[in-house]
Amino acid sequence: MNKKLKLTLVTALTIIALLIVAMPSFAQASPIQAEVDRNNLTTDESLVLTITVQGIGSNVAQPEIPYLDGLNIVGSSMASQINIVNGNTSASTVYQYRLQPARPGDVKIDPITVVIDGQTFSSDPILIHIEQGSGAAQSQNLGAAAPAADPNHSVEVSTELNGQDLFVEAVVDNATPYQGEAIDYTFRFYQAVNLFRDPNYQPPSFTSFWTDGEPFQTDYTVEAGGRTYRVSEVHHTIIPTANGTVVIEPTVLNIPGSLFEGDQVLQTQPVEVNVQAWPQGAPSDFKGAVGKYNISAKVDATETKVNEPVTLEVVLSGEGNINTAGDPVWTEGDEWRSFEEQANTTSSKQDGKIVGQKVYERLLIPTREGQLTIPEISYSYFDPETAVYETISTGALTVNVLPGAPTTTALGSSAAPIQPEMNSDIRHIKLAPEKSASTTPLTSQTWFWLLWLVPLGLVVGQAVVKRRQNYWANNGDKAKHKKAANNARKCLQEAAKNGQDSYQSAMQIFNQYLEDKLNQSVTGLRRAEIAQLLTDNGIDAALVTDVQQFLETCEHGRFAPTAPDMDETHILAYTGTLIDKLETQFR
Amino acid sequence: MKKTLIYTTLFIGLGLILGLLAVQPSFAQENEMQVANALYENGRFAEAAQAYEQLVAQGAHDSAVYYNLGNAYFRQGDIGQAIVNYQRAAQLSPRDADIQANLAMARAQAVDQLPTTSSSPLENFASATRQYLTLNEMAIFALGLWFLFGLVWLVYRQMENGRGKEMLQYVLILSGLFMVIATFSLGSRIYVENNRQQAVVIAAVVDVSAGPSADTITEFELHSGAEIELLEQRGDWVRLALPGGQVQGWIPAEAVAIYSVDSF
Repeated sequence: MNKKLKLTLVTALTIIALLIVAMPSFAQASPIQAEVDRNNLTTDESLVLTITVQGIGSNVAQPEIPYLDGLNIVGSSMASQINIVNGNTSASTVYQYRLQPARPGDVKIDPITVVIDGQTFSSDPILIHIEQGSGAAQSQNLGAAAPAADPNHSVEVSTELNGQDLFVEAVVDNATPYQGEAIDYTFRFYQAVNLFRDPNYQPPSFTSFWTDGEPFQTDYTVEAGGRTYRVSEVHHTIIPTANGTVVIEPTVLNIPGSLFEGDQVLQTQPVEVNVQAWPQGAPSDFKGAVGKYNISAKVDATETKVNEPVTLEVVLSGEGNINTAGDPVWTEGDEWRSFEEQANTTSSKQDGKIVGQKVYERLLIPTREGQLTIPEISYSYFDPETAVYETISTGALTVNVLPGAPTTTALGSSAAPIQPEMNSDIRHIKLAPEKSASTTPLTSQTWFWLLWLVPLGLVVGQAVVKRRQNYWANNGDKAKHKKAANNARKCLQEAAKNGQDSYQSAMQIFNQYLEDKLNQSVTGLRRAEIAQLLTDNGIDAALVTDVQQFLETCEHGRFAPTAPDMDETHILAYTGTLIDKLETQFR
Repeated sequence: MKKTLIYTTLFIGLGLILGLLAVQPSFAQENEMQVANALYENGRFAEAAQAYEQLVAQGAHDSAVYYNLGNAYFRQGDIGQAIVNYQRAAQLSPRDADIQANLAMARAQAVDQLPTTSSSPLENFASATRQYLTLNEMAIFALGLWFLFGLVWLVYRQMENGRGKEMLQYVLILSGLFMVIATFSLGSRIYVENNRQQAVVIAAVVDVSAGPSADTITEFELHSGAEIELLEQRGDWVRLALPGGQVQGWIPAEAVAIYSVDSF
């Protein structure tokens, strides 16, 4: 193969190999992102850290928050969402943490890590500048260092607090809520002495209530009865699920004892809540939403074609029981075929109230051309502040629908599935079995892979044969030496077949054998000289003597009138025997 | 020249053997199929489906049987089972236009309109080859090109320098390129089919949970006909991924059917 061909082959194979290697490794964006709503704040303010992780479910671990020096976590929430945009499905989980500064200065949030499918990913670090605020900062470390005194704290001290070392109480911010109205259940732990171990907090089961999210905790100090109390508050947002009088069981605080005294159990008084029923006259589409809500809708395209979908996004947002509020009622029409998707709900707590939004995405496929209207979507909720039912709506949307493209039936693009014809039926059954190929994959058969070795074996075999041929062609003496015996035997067989003069033939064949082996001519040499050559080449004396006798016999047979020692019929066979013996001794 | 003749004969012989092995004769149960077809024609779709299922149980892994079975399920409104059987038929006869048309029709009826493409270029490539060739056809094609490349190589090495050998250089390069492409295609298809288990939801509605237990939270719902990928099985539960691989969850194994022909 010339150099040009080699170069061409190597280049082509390299390009293919690079393509194969490069295909699966398309760059991907980091699946975790962390951001804060503000980078500059005072110790009186708080910030929200939002961590967005691509993917949901069991293959995604919860992100690992590093130690936050100078920031305390005072609240958290989590939401997941699934988006189908332009046919691509994506999912993400959003974690939100409300962070309270503990001191002024520059604070760095180290990279947050998350494990997805066994692989660890990190976000970028975040820098935050905190300045001293006008009031004292709240502390969150329950049971740790004593929080700063807070003379301006607005919480009223319990009237039952009369100088005890430890005291607990539980209150709700609204004892007469409406069914579905979120209220705040607050547990307070007053502590004037240090504890050896952290107390064990056992909240009530909140029967007849729906608890929304995880409880959050705040700490502060108050002065009462001449003593300074550190107060730890735990807030639960609860939503009554039925009307009537409901009693919330006591919250229990188990304080482990020391070496000299036993455990101490503190418990709050039961809290009675009178849940009001919704008033009469609820709209027909009212599904239990209580609070204050807004609704909006938009489509991702105002112009499309018949059978080409548009995505209608409806956002229900506001303050209230967003997680348990019912879904809007969709108005179906003949002009659209619709496919519903899972709603994405996000919520958080602000000032003890639940705020959030539900995003509904609905795939709408127009069935005819023209100016088609997406009907308005109405939604009813009950406002507990005014005790009035409110109905809100999105307003109708108009989409200009053009005639559709012809239905694809050819097996063209690999990515585009065949679109079925509208209003058509499936094709009819087949009458007879097809001559289908075997369902057993050839690739699972051992013999199939062994067949791949056949061309390789033939190519290698041919190369070996050709190399040997070249070697013998370039080394004629060695070739003669190696093939001397075989050539002699062939000649002996020919001579025996042709009935030639046996003595002469034997003599000629033997001499030729010796010439090939010794790589020199023996014609004209005397028997003694031949004997010496054989001895020099490692032939033992007895065999050299046999050779001398053989040569003498042949000469006698050829030229002497009397019969030699050996019969003419045996001389050729004896020649072969002699050559075999020599062959074993030649160096 | 004598050696070349021997090699050619040897290669052609091997090719014939391969071809004969790959295209085995189909089953000879046409009578049973006629009975099932008659039930279908008379609108007795449930009984027809049962008859086709019996044919499959008897070893009739035939594209026409799966296609007819898909039709019988489609007529009963069971979109999940219809898609499963159309997919099985398409695996055996990927170029059959009737199968592709009915599969598209069944997909259009599914509640969950999920994308059919993956985020992995390798998977999309394997999926594209699946529309034109069966795995066995690809295997024979790749092996045939490998034999052809070997044959051309042997002839090239035997030839004396001259115009003929020069021309053969280009044949050698072309056959080598095609051989590499065909082998890569076969490799990617084997990789995807061995590592990606495609399935279809056959339950009317199934809750997709965060873990392999009914006690874990429900993340979303899937409906009959949703085409998914199975990632693993634990007991009576399977972990699935929607196209794209990002959305994953657990559902009971009985709610899905794998449509790979050699997997059932």
